[in-house]
Amino acid sequence: MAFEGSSMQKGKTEITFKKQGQAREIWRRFKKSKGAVIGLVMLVAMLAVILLADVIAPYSLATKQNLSQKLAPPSSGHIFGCDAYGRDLFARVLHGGRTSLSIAVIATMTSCLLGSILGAVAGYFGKAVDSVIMRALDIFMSVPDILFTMAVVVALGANFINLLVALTLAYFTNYVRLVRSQVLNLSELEYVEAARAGGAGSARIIATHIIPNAMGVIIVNTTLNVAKIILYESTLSFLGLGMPPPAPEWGLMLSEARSFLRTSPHLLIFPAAAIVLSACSVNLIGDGLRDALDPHLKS
Amino acid sequence: MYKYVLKRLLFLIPTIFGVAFIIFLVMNITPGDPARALLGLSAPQADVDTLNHELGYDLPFLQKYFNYLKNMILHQDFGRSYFTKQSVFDEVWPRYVITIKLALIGVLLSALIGIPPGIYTAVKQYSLWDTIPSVIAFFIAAIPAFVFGLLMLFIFSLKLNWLPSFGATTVYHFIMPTLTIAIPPAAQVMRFTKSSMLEAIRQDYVRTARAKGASERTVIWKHALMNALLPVITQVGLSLGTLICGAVVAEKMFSIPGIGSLIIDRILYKDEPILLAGTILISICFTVVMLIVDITYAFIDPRIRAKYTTGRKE
Amino acid sequence: MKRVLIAVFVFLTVLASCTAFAAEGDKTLVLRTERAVPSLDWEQTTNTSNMKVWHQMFEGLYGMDEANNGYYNELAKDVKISDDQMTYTVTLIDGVTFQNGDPLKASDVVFSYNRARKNSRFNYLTSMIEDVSSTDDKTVVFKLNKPYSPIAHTFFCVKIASEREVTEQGEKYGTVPHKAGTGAYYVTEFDVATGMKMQAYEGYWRGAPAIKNVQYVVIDDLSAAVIAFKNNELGYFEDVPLSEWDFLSEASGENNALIKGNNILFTAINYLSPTNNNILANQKVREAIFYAVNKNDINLAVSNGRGVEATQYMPSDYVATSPVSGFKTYDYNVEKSKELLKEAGYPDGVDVGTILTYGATSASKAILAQVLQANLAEVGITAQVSVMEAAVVTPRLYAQDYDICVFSDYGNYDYNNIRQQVHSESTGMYVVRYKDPASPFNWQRIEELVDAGVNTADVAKRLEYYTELWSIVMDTATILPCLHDPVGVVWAKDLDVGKPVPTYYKVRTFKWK
Repeated sequence: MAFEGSSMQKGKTEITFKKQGQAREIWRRFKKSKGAVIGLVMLVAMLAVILLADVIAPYSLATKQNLSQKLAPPSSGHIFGCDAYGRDLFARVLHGGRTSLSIAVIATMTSCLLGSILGAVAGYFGKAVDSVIMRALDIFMSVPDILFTMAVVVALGANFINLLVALTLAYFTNYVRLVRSQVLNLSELEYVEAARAGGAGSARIIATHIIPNAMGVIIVNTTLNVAKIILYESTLSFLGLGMPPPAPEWGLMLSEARSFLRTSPHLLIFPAAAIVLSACSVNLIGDGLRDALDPHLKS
Repeated sequence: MYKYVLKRLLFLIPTIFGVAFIIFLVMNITPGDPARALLGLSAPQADVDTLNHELGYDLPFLQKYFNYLKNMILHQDFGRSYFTKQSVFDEVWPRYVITIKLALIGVLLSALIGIPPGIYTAVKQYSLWDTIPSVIAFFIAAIPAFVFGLLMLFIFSLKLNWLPSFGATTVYHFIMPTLTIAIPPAAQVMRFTKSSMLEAIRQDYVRTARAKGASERTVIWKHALMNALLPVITQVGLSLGTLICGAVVAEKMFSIPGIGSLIIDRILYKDEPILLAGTILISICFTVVMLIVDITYAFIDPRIRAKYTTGRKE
Repeated sequence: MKRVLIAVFVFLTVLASCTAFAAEGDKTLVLRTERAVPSLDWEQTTNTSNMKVWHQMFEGLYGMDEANNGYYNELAKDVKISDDQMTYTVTLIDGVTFQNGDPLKASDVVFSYNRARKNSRFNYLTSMIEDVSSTDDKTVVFKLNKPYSPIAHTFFCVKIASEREVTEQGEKYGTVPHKAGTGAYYVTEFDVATGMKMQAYEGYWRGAPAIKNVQYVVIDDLSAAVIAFKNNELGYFEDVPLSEWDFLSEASGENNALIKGNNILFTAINYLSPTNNNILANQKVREAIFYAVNKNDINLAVSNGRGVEATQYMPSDYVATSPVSGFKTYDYNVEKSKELLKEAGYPDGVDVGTILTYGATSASKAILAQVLQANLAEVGITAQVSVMEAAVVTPRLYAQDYDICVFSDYGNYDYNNIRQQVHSESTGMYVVRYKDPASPFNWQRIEELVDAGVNTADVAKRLEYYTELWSIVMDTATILPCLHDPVGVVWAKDLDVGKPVPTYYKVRTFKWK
């Protein structure tokens, strides 16, 4: 997304040049951090495996039942074993990654978008607009997320889209505060004032000057948020509020594993490991990016 | 300062109004009605309509909202549950207390578990005593809370039979649930403490103290720690909000009669009075804790106290 | 360091404040209820899990003995039926007192029935009653608006409460402990969230029960309940998860029983569904779907292979008039299914829409739906699975707003309950609407047979009617019984429960060894 941000600036050679230099500098610092590189490698490897899931094990394998293989432990035929329906667990973990990670990434982006717009509007216009948005947000935040999630899922049913709505409602609030404070700091800067004096409209100033400059902080938070959403999503599935069966999804697999924890721990171990690995790698990247973007914080 | 606290406390009023509004709105746009849920699907529509009318559910949205506020303010009456006919306050309060206990112990535990290794790893930076705990904390932060709950149930209840698997009557009942919800935030707290501590150690006054010949112990405990803990307090306070939600998982898993599981159970029955009272109480708790965090913050740091007198810190 | 100590101290104080004490006096039998009991008034829900609890406190005119198949006289000493089968004269037994000490009078029965009749939740039980009156202290007269042989079910379900106690408690009745039942136990402590404590009623008319203290705890999580039983925190645990059967039966020593359940998991097809150009209106497609269903797979997935593959709507073990043979059963046959599909014009398979069901994703209905989907995929039929909350799904089922559904029914003791599924007057209960302008079925005959069944008390005659009825229903290829899920019961080593039953156990018959 960092690069999308800079491509918005294509028309202005000067800034693009500067941005590219900045990106290169960030990348140089990012590379220095061992953890971040490990995280990146892990994530890329996972993404590659998940994207190639159809080649490695076709989707039909993830849903094909063979009840004579019910709860079969890991073996050469089924390297992760089979679940309670005799479905191949490896194929399910693989295809589950597609569902789980795409929900996490898309939900992060939608909540980022919604939160950023509200935050930018609040911060830029200030005064009454700011007060209304921020006080409404305070009230909104004091209602537990889980209640909104419940309401959405119960009312509209559990599916991909509704889950996105629920997760967006739960996570956009962070971005409002974040972007607002960034905008408050940035809008006092000289070049923004210059643009304003030059007659640029509010929306234009926000879009071309403020958002791109607040991008760094947003990116770091977005990355870390992906990990949080992966975990929250699995918790929702555990409570029966997540993706409906028989879709392979990590949280759902964990919740199905619970009845067999004593006899077939492999049902829990593999999806849990997938969740931990993906959340870890995303966190590592997030930490690396934060250090790279803000050398002051670098330990 | 007092003015500020008063202002923040007064903000509770619009918060309550707003939360009630949100709940009414959510109830209004979701399908179903309490009488249908209570009487079953075979009951004739006329009977369902009558019961909805008796419950006061069929009133227009805004009228219902203002009636509710009126009863709450003028008569301190939260109504009766549609489902159990019990007084809402009698039903919600004991469960609220349990959840708050769970969440507060969870917060304290997460601080107790998280802060000491955070300090320790910062002091021992770059040594093995930094790397190993940091890596462990890193992994723990990436494990969903309920997986800890499951594992603890498996080990301490099923295998060892040390701890009970359900209920909330004795202190033993609280051990696993509070740990379940405290461990993931504890890992966060540790990471946060570490970075905050590292930053504090590098500050000028710490360097000055060192230069003046203060012992390493005094430097760490007196100068660096106090300053490093400030942001940690905020972090811990903020995590109470998530812990209250996280408590829902623990409540479900260990069959603890708390407010979270109550809300989840009753949302299906559209038991508005319970949902309203439960949510309002949670939001009051949340707001008050945030206020306490802010005040503590100001109390410890005079620089911030000065800021508070002029305006609200974001 | 001082601060750390203070923190530890604060923590311990908070922790200590959570401590309560559980004084152990007489031995208490602890039972699990999976759902919170919302009220001590038995009229407040019709949920089986709650009814099991109420059965310890309340009694009806009839009782239910599942171990010996059928209803027996409980508070009724004698029931006289008029020749037109429209008037039932019930004489009450002597020597019954409510837990508050009042003797049971006919007026209490009239009061209880009139109260239940006002409650639309029980329309299905009471709508045939025209009037209830008492002629003296011991005689109650029921006037019906039509002959109705399954009235025994009504006499069993409607419980008798003390008029005085209920009236005196007024609005509070149900929310606080009361002594309004004639049962062997009364409630001493009640909390919706955690459960209740009961005590033996020493003046119980059959004689005081052996076990004096009973406690119901709410444990909604099955895994937690399994652990609780294993750790001796539960004395009696029924409807155990079958995936844990080996573990639990071993933990219980000899004290376990696996009983054929009086329940049915079934699949229904909505032939009125507009999906894919009314594909499900095609009889051949519906039959192809049914032939594709592998009930053995369903049994393995749902009941760990311990269930009974079903062909009947109600198990004849529990319902005397349930047809045993003489109807189509759609035995698993992939070849036949594919052939039918080809005949219907879909040799390469077809999309039939969504399999809709409700409840927890780990519960039997959701499991069946997933197996069904996989079974259909084997013959080339594609379907989605949708599992949602009951509050959302059931109205859709009852409004015929679905393609295929997975559904369950339980606790039937009279075949007339099939009326709920097939009769046009059961709107809001049936999932397949047989009486419809677009219906190709002989719904008139179905309804005639339902009515004929209730109009006669002769068992052989009823069986004949119901066999024809079930045969017509099966020919429509709209409802397919799949599985009778067994009920596993385990109990503590020091407990004697007599002959275990699938649903309505009676704590009064239990004793400590």
